Amino acid sequence: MRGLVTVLRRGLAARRVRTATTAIAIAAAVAFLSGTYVLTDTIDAGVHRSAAEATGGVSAIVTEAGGFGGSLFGGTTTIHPGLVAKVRGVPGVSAAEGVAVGYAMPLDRRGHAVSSSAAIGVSAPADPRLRQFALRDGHWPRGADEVAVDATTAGTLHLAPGRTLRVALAGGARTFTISGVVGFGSAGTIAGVSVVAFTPEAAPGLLGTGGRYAAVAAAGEAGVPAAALARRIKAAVGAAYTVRTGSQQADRLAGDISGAASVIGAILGAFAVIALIVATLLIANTFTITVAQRTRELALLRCVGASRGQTARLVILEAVSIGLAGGVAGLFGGIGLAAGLRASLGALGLPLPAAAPVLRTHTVVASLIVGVGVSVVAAGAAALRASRSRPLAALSAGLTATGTRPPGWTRRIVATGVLLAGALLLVTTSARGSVALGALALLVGAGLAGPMLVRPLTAPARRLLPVAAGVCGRLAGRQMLRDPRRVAGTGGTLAVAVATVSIVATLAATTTSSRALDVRRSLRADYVLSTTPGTGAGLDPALTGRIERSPGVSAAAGMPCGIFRAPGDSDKLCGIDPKAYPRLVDPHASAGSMADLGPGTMAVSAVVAGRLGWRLGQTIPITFPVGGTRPTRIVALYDYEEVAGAYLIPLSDYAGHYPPDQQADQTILVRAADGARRQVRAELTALRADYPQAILDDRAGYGHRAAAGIDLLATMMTGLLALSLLIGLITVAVALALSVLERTREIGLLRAVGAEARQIRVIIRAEALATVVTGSLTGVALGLAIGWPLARALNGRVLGPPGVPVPLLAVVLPAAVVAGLLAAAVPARRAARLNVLTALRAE
Amino acid sequence: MPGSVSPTVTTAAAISAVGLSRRYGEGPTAVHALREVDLTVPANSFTAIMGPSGSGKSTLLHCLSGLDTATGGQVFHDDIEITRMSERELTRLRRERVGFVFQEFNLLPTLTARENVLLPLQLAGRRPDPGLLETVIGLLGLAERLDHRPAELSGGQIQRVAVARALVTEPRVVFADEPTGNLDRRSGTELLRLLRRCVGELGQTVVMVTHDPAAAAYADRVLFLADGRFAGDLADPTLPAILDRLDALEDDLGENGAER
Ligand SMILES: Nc1ncnc2c1ncn2[C@@H]1O[C@H](COP(=O)(O)OP(=O)(O)O)[C@@H](O)[C@H]1O
Ligand SMILES: [Mg+2]
Repeated sequence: MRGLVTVLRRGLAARRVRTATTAIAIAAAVAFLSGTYVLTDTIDAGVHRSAAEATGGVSAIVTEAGGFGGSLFGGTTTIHPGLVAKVRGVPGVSAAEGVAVGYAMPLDRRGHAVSSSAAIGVSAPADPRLRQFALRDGHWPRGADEVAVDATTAGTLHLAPGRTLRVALAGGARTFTISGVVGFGSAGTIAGVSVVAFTPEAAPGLLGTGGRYAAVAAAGEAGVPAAALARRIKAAVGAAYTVRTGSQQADRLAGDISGAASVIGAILGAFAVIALIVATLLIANTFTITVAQRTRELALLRCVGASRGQTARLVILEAVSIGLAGGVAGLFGGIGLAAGLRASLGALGLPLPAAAPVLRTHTVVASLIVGVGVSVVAAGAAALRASRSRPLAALSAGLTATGTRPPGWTRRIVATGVLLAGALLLVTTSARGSVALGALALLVGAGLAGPMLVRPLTAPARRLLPVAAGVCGRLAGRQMLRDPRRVAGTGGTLAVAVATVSIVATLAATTTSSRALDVRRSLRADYVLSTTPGTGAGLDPALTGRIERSPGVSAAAGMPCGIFRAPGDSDKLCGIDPKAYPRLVDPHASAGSMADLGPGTMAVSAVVAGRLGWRLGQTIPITFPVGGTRPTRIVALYDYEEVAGAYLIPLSDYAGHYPPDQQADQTILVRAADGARRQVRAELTALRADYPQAILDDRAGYGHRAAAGIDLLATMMTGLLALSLLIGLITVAVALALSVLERTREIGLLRAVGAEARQIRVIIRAEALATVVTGSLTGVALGLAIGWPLARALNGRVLGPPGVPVPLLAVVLPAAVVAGLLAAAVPARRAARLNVLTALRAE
Repeated sequence: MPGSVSPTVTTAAAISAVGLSRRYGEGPTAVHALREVDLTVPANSFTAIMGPSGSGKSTLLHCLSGLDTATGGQVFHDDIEITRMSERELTRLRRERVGFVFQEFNLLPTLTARENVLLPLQLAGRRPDPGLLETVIGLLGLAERLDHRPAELSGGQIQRVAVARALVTEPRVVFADEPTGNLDRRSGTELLRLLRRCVGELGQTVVMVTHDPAAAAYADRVLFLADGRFAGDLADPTLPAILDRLDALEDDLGENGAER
C-alpha cells in the first residue's frame, strides 16, 4: 500500500499539467452544478425572508377560502364589510380592518408602465399594527389624492414625497401626490411587484372593489397568542374563510411568490438536471482519456507484479484526490457563478430578491458526489477497460494506441433498438409522458451509439478539412478516427449541451408560429386592446361601452377573465357577449355550436377538453368565486384558443359569478365599419392616454403579441443554457489539451520532418473545429427532433408546420467556429511551442 | 592519433563542425555532453558515429542536424552556418536539406506508409518528383505495403518507410540515430544495405549513430566519441578494426575513470 501511495504521489506530481487540467475540468463542472443550486436556494431564502418581514406585525389574516387566486395582500375580493365587524367583535381582537386590493400601475413620465410584473394597489390600514409594510420616508396618505409607493418603484422613477405620480387604474389613469415611501422590512418590494398604497377610504372606489375586501387584517390584545386569536376568529367566521396567523400568512406568501416565480424555479430545476448531466459527462470524459493514456504505465506496474486490484486502487485513489480538489474548488466557484447568474437574470428583467448566497447541505453533497463520485466511477471503468488487455500486449502497444476495438454486436443492437424506439415514440405519440420518454430514449440511444456514429457524422468535416487546410486538415481528420469513443465523449457532451438549447428554441419557435396561426385564423376584429397578463391589469367595462358607441365602430366586446375550479382542473375562463362575439372572434366550433352559448353553459377548447376527457353535452360542476358550484353544460368544443382562451361562458353568467374587481375586461375586441379603420384606430389610440395599461394591436400585431409570450421564457432558458455550452467547450478544450500531451512525440516527429509551429497550430485548431462543429450540428439535429414532438405534446397540438428556430440556426455555425478556435487556443499554443527535441524524447 | 582531425578528406564537406560543445545545465552539476568537437563529413559518404553509451553520439547527431542548439562552436551545412539559425530557418533546413530516421516512433500512426513518405513534401507544399518517388519505393521494396498503416507493418518495414520518407525530399544529408537498434539481425542487415545503396546509387550523404560494430562496418568511415570528445576515426572500417578501436576506447575510459 505504501508503495502504491508513493507511485500515486509521484504520478500526480510528474503529470502536473495533466493533473491540473483534470482538476480544472472537474472544478468547472462542479461550479456549474453548485452555482445552480446556490442560486435556487438563494432566491428561495430571499423570498421567505421578505414574506416574513411583510406580514411580521399582523396577528391574523382572514381571506376567502375558495382559493381563486389573489395577491400578496389577500385572496379574492369577495369579503363583505359585515365580516370586518364580525372579526372586530371576536374577544381578544383589538383592531380589525378590511384590506382593499386591486390594480394600480405607477407610470413613468412618458406614461409607460413601470414594470411588467404585478402592479398592486392596496389600502393602507389606519391602524399601524395592521399594515404589512413600513413607512420609510414622508407620511401615510391622508386624502384621496395622496398615495405611498414602494421603495423599489420610488427608486426606479426617482420619486420622493411631495412629487406627483400618475397611476393607471382599471377605471382610467389618475394623478396623485406622493405622501410617502414604504418598504417591506429590508426589501424595497416583494417579488418585483409594484405597490401603491391608498387611504382606506379612497382605496375601494379607486380600485373598483365594489365595497368588498380581499382580506381582513386583525391585531390581538396584548397577551393573546396569535395562534389562539386565529382559532377564535376562525370559529367566528366559519368554513367559508381561511384564517392564518401572521407567520402562516408569511409562509403562504412565500409559497405564492415562489409560485409566481415558479417559472424561474422550473427553469432552474430543469437547468440543474442539465447541469448534472453535462458535468457528469465532462468529468467522465476527462478520466476516460487520462486513464487510457496511462494504459502503458499501468501495464508496466502489472508486469512488475502489481495485482489488478492494486492498479485499480491506484487509479481510484488518484481520482479521489483530483476529484476532491476539483470538487471543493468548484463548490466555491459555484457561489461566484450564482451571483453572476442572479445579476444576469436581473438584467433580463426578472426581479429576484436580494440575499446573501445560501450554501445548503444538498449543494455540498451533490457537488462532492459529482466531483468525487463521477471521477471514481469514470476512472474505475476506464481502468477496468485498460486492465482487460494483457500486461505485455499493453506494454508493447504504441504509446497512443488506445482501445479502439469496434463496439460489440450487443451494443450495436441495443443502441439501434433504443434509437428506433425513441424515434417511434417521438413520431407517433403526443402524450407528454411518452414524448418525454421518446426524447430520453433518443438521447440515451445516441449516447450508446456515439462511438459508432463518429465515422459517419464526422465524414463531412473530415472531407472538408483537407480542402481548407491541406495536409494539416488531413492529419486532424485522421486524428478524429483514431479513438471514436473519445471523440464521441467529447463531441457528445457538447452535443447534449447544444441539444438542450435547441430543444428550447425549437419549442419556442414552434409554439410561436402555431399561436400566431391560431390568432390569424380566429380573429375577426380589426383591433385588440389587451392588457399584459400577470400584471393584474384590467379595463373598466365602461370603456368598452364607450368604444362600442364610437362612430365608425361596427362591433366591440370586452372579455373579463377569472379563475374557476372544476374536477381535475383550475384555470382561467373568460366571459363573452354571445351576440357580439361572432363578428369579433371565430374560435371555430368543431363540435356543437357557439350559438348555443347561453346561461348555464360553456364552450371549451377541443384540445383542453380532450386532455380532461370532457365531451360535448356533458355537464361539469364548475366552482366560481361567487355563487359556489354550478352544473355547467358544454355546448361547443372549439379549435382556436389564443384569442378566446380555453373556456368561455356567457357574459351574463360571468357577471354573477365574479366579484366586482374581476369584472374589468382583460381584452377588448373592436371591429371597424367599412372604410372607418383609420378613424377607429385614431380613436382607440386617443383612449390609451387614459388607459395606458391597454395595448393596442391590429390583427397581425396581436398575432405576434400572443405568440411572444413564450419568448422571455426562451430567452432566459437560452441564457442559462449558454452556460452549459461553456461546459461543452471546456470539455473540448480539456480533451484537446490532454490529447496534445499524449501526442507530444508525434508533434516532435512532425516538427522534425519539417512542420512549422504554425502548421502544428492549424492541426490542433482543425481538430477542435471539426469536433465542435460536428458536435453542435448533431446537437441542433437532436434539438429539432425532440423539440418538435415536445411542442406538440406541451401545447396539445401544433398548427401549421413545425417552427424552425432561425436565429439559433443562423448563429450556431459561426458560434461553433469561434468556440472551436477558443477551445483550441491554449492546447494549440502549447503544441506549437513544444521544443522539437524535448517532444521527440517525450514518454 | 585519437583526438586529431582527419585531414585526409579531399571531397567537398557536406557538414563540418568546429569546436562544437553542448552542455546541459549550469554550474557544478552541468553535464558536458559534447566538448569541443571538430569534424567534417564529406558529401556522398556513409559516416558512422560510435562510442560507449552516454558518450554524446545522439547529442552530436542532434547538433549536427539542427534539432538541438549547440552551447559552443559552429556547425556548417556546406558553407552555411546553422548554429545561428532562427527557428523558422531551422524549419526550412529540416524541410529542404536534412532527413531523419529515428530508432523508434518514426511514423505517424494515423497515416498510411505512402502518406508518411509524402508527409514532408506536403508539409512543405511541394510536389513529389514522380521519378524519384518510384526509384525510392522500388529501392526499398515497399510497393506492396504502401497503403498499410504503421500498426500493420513489421519493424523492418517501418524503418524502411522512414528511410523512404527521409529520402523523398532529396536532402543533402540523412541523419539516422540507431536505425537498426530495434530490429532483428536480418532486418537490420537489410536496412544497412539500403542505406549503403542510397549513398552508392542515389549519391546521398548518410550520418548514422550506432553502437553495433557490425552496423558501423557498412560505413565508409567511423567517427569515435568518448566522454563527449572526438576520439579518432577509421576509414574503410572492418569489423575487427572497429572492435579493436572500441576495446582501446573502453580501456582509456577505464583509466580515466580510475583517475577520477
Ligand atoms: N536533455 C538532457 N539533459 C541533461 N543531460 C542530458 C540530456 N540529454 C543527454 N544528456 C546527457 O548527455 C550525455 C550524452 O547523451 P547522449 O548524446 O544521449 O549519449 P549517447 O547517445 O551516446 O548514448 C549523457 O550523459 C546524457 O545523460
Ligand atoms: Mg543515443
